[in-house]
Amino acid sequence: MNDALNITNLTAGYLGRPVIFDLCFTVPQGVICGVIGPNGSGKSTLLKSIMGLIHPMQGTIQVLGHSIDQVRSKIAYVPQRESVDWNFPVSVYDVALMGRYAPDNIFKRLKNSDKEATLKALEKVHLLEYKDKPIGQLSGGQQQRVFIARALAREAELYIMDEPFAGVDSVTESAILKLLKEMKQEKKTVVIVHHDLQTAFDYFDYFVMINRKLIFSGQKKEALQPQYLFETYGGGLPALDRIRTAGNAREEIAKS
Amino acid sequence: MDIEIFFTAIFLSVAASISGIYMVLSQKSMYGDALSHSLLPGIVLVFLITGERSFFGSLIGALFTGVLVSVLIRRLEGIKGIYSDAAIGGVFVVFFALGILLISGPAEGVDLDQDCVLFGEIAFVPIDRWTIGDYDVGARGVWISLFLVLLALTFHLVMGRVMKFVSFNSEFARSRGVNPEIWNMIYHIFISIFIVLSFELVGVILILSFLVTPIAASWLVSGNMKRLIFLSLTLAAASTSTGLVAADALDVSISGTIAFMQGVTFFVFLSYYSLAKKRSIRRLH
Amino acid sequence: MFQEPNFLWVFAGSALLAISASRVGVFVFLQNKSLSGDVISHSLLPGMVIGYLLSGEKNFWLLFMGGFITGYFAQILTEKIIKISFLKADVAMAVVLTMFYGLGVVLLTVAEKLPYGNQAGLSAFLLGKAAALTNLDVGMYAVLTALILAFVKWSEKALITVSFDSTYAKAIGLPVGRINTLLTSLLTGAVVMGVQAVGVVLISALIILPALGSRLISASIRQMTSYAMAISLLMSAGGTVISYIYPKMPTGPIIVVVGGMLLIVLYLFRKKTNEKYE
Repeated sequence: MNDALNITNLTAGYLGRPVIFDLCFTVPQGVICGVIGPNGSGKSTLLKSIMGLIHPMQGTIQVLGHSIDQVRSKIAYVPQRESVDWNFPVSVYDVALMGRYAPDNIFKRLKNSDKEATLKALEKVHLLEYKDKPIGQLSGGQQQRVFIARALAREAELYIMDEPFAGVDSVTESAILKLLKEMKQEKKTVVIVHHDLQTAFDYFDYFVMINRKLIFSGQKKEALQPQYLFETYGGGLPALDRIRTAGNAREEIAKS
Repeated sequence: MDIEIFFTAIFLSVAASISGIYMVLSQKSMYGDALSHSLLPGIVLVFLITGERSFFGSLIGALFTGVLVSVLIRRLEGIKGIYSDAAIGGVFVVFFALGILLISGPAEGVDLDQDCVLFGEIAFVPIDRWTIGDYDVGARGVWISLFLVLLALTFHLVMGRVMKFVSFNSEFARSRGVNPEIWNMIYHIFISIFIVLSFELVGVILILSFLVTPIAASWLVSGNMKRLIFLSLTLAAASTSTGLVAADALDVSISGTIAFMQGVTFFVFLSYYSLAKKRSIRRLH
Repeated sequence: MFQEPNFLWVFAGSALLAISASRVGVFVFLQNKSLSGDVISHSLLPGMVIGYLLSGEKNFWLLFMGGFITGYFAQILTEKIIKISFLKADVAMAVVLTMFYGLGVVLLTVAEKLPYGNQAGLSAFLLGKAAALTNLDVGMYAVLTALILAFVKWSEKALITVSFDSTYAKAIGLPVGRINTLLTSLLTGAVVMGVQAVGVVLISALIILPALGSRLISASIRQMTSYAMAISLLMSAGGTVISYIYPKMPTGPIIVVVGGMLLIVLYLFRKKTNEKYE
């Protein structure tokens, strides 16, 4: 079976400035994978490169063994909640239905199966009774669940989510976690960008740790090494120490 | 070319470059478009009430409508789901239509028409003389535009500091006890005065061009405020003069040629900016 | 009044215009581009004058094509400025609008000097002459309106998806660039067609006001679309009736002022739920 993600030598960024350097890793199918790193570590850049939203400067990305454009129908993408205007006049159902859209049906009438899949997805995130509500009337957690319903409606093999746990209530959190378990049983792959280290080890079973470079990728039991966490999150501190030591040394020399 | 036309155009372009800067920097350029189209009904209403068109009458009418338009736009954008550009557009078209209705019906005698509001006619500047007693002191347009230069300079010297503060960081200003809404309102009133005094000379479209285009072009290449102002003044004067010369040579609309020249200047600067950016990206690799 | 053929033509013409403008206007509103209509309407002036210079007469389709080309080009330039520099939409729009309009005015003075120049006609043409709509105009409006409505219907799902979440639209492989091109073309088409009836400035009103008014009272795009249609029909009906009763009043501005009054009413009866989320 192909890997869900196979990334080699990926360098990507904006306006000619690379944000992530030379990443190489694979994510096998059937895992719940957390992409972990501090703010500014390039998590979103990585996700955008995988989705083909920005072109990599170097390297190759294979998704389910193919280039992204060949497998878009098998991938569901959940962008950050803040990336859209929630006052937009659409209903919960309208947004979830977008999960069924693809280049080959967007200009055609939708089938009944599309409607059924959408309703089923809404039921899974406990939003069926809200289906005709305008999205602007939802709470933050409910909004996040609408986005997840849109992804579920796609009935995809690989789910890519950008910070789905950010700022959600505990009901939504446990709903998402339950869904993740179900997806694992169904052998689906989920790749989730997440910045909160404390919860990461409860949520995920496979890890990609980055801080502009790859620090670690692999199973949970190997990821639990302090040195990886230190490199991912504490990388700035030793560097500061070194600068301070160098400064002190220069002062010493000046004195003597 | 008539020297009085030349001075009127140059003075106006310089005054507008000083005045429009906060509008451009705080990303509200289309407010200028909105205000310039909306002032018409105010001017006409004052004419209907007083029976004549006077300097102060027009001023008061314009001030009133300027404030009203700003308040209405703010009101509309405050509603969730209503975007600011729709609010701006929605308000100004209604005011403009109201103005056109008034001048084609009840206020026929006001001596304004839609052509004149949009195009203006700077070629008529030398005809409208300003006389004190029997002595002809020059074309009224020259004096009005000179007055606008002084007004703009005064505004800049007195309010420049606080306007800079408000337009760059309104949240921070608020936390320091400066209410950005009041200052923006004062600024809008100032722009309204500017427009009402100048629109008959060159038309509202050229005024908008004066208020925005040279500043936008200079912004592309200047790092600080002083340089920005200096460069935009230079650009405004340069493209106005070339526009005047070209219009004279080709015998076509002066306002139109200047507006077009300003745009061309902008695109020259934009190409320079884009080339410089590409080069710096290439250097990074 | 309703037996009067002229009245009926004027009403039919402005109603067709209002319907297509409001249908496109809803999506323009939702993409936060309401003032694009204003940019396009000012920028089609040079194209229309060139069309006029080429034909030497007011040939509807030549003027339409001329206006369409420069109007569309202006919109592309605006987007280009925003894309390659740090300048925002407001500056880009002001710069492009004044530049194109300036060029248009220059060409207009050229046209006026030509021997065959029927300038009064052209000037009225650019400032709007709804009261002079003929059955011929109305026929062309009907064709164009049918086209615009059909295209919007066909691409509605795509337009909604792109307007709501263009990142997602790209992620599922929709041709976002082409969808936006389609919307710009539809907007340009509606504007070029409307300019002849209500003039350069007031055509923006037919784009903006119905969408703005309907947004105040609706919670879904479906509602917005039908309310916007209703508002635009009320505007054109009110405008044509009033200007029929008071012939001195030009139809275009009255249509817009009626729209303004409707806006006040809708503002007062707006859905308060819209404001109190969360």
